[in-house]
Amino acid sequence: MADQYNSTETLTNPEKTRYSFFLGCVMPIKMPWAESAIMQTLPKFGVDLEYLKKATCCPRAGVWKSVDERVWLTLASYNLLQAEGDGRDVMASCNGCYVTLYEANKLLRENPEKLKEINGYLAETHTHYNASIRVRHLLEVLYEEVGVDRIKGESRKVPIRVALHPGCHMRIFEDGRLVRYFSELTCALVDEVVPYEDEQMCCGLQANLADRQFATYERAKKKFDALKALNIDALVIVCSGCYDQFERAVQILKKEIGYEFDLPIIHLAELLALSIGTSPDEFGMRYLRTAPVDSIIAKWESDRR
Amino acid sequence: MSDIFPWRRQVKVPVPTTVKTQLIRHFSIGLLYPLNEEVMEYRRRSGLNPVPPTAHGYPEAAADIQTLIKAMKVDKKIGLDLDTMEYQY
Repeated sequence: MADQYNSTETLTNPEKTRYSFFLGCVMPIKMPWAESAIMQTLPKFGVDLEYLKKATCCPRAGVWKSVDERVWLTLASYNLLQAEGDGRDVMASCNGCYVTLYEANKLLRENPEKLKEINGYLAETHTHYNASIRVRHLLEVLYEEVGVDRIKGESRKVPIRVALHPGCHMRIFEDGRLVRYFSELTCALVDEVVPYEDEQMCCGLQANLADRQFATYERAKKKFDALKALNIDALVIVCSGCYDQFERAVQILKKEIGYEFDLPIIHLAELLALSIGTSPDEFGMRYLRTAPVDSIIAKWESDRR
Repeated sequence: MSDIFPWRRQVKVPVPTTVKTQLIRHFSIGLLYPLNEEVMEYRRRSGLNPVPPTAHGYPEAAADIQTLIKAMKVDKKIGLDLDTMEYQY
């Protein structure tokens, strides 16, 4: 199988676009609007997408690499083998899940001895992983396989101004291509993407494990302060881990100091869904939000009349 | 080594408090966040199956995670009794 890959996991067989969507822990519980938008929209652009069934926590490589690397590799393999069994590659939207699964998969493909060791543990659950599949980010699937030109051709821009939060793990590759994909895709879907000084600042998720005060006030709040000054309609994300941290910080800041962060945090897939005419109610856009999305929907509806 | 240093004992470092609860959830349900009736209702309204096709819908996956953790003896390493879900240190 090794000849199907190159060093950067770029698609070498463009006809193979069958994916198992890895949901992770956060999206199905806190972001059903994102899950629904992805599952409804990508197939309309020709992506063969199914759920990765029996998914468990990715797990957090940042924690397990330092405690016991075997746990990271074994539990990641347990997730990956579910897709491998269905003859599909894995697609993830969360940057954290992507990095965990991508790096585990890469390591196991390049190290047969390690793969053998991990399969020794997996045998206890009567499962086996061959490391024969790829792990791809939602952004790679949209940008490299669907393409910005096709998206532009089949969509209509949502008339809003937004800012981006890429997240630290989006910078996994030295050439920064995921960040570029995120930026170009969003630019294709909205009127204006507004840059800001703290765009690359961490959401604070990892720091939250060690120091919640620092993560909330020195990371999330600083970001929120910068965003509030921009006079924009929404903050766009793709990472469930970052959303988890932002959602937590919004609640803590409101409770502790009465701080209001009323800027909606939305997923790129929601913009994609709206841009091709999917009604917000079809993917549950109004529910479980950190801030109401009514103003975005009103602008979208006004433009569609 | 124990013959040379008979009094040496392995240092048991407890898992950070912030991680302990997460690990219990991870090993109990396979994921970090539980599913409840409110979320199921919002999932319905979003056009989704109320129970996601993750370990929430396949409890055997969580059982497999416990089996794997035991196989690697990680439960002993972090001092977590997987039967009672209580930390020993």
